[in-house]
Amino acid sequence: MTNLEHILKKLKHIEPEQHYADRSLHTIVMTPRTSRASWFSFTFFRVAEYGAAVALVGLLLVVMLGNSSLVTTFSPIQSNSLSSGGLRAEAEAIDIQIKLLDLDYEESSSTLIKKSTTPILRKKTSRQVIAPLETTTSTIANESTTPPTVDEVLDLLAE
Amino acid sequence: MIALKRTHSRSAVLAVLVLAASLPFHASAQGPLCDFGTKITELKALQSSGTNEVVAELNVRKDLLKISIGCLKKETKYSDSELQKIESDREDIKAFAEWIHRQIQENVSYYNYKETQIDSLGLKGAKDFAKELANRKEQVNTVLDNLVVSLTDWMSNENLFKTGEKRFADIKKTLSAFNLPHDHEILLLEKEAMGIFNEGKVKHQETWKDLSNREVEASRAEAKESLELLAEAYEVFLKISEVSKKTLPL
Repeated sequence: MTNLEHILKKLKHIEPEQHYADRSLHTIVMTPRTSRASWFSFTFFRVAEYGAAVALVGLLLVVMLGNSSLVTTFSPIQSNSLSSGGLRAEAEAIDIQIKLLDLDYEESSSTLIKKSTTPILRKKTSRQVIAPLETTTSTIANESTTPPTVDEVLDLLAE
Repeated sequence: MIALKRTHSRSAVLAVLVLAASLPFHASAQGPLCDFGTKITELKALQSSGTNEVVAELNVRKDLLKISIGCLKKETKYSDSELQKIESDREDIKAFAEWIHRQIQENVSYYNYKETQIDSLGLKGAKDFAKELANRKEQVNTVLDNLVVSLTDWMSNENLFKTGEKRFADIKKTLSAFNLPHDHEILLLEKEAMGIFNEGKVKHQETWKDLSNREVEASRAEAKESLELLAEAYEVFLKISEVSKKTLPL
């Protein structure tokens, strides 16, 4: 017992060798600090995790609200391109445009016909009617529902 | 199904927009009407009265000439306002529209100048003046108006061709995903559509060439032909749609 006490008391005075203590201190001091890097990695992964979660929720919403599926979203098969409704609507727009072109063509043609026939009609009236101007004016005045055009008035004034 | 319906309505809206863009001008392509009030009746009354009221008649004639010239200016400016609605990124189209705009401006200046001469006219001078205005209207106003109408039409046709091109590209992309054999009915129809569509496009480009050379009559005939070919191509697109729905897992 006495021997054991003696040993324990002796342990109280144990100290590291000076060279070993210096070397250990040096090693500890020179070891790079890793606490900052760990914090950065932690934050980065947390942000990435949060971002990925938001992106996935967004994609899910798009897929759900768009009544679509991932397959159709990224598939080269666009069945909409063959929808007869869409095709008919576009074809109808073309038909209407063709009719509008016809209208334009008729308008310009009728103007030309009117221009080319007016002098002939005028010649006829001047031979047959004593007062051609009066005839023209009465024609214009009688057509109360359709106001005279500038062409008609200029023809009238030229006489 | 909802997605399909949405596409239908989108296409329908597109068609309506295309037409809405072109309708206002077509609806009143002859330009605004002129209000001559009671002046024509007054002229008639003076001429039939038997009294030789030359001064009174001349004054009414001058009033009518002033209204006419105002009307011709309004008509020209109306064409210009329609021209300003045309939007394009193409430099050649912009240059052509700018050229028409300058012609219109010159025409307005001409009428402004002629307007100052009316008060000094005699009876014969007033009659000659009316003839001159009538000729001017036919040779300048009508020509410029036709150019504006044709350019507006061409732009509408261009939009229809662009829509058709996009539609055809989507159809081809969809069909290519099925790896169909070369002699498959659908691919033969696609080939047929391609031939007709390209022919229409060539005609559409020729239309522009003629229009930019101010050959309005030729351009109008070609414009109609190009659209008829486009309509024919759409008939084949519809056939492709019908056959595809029966034979492909769409």
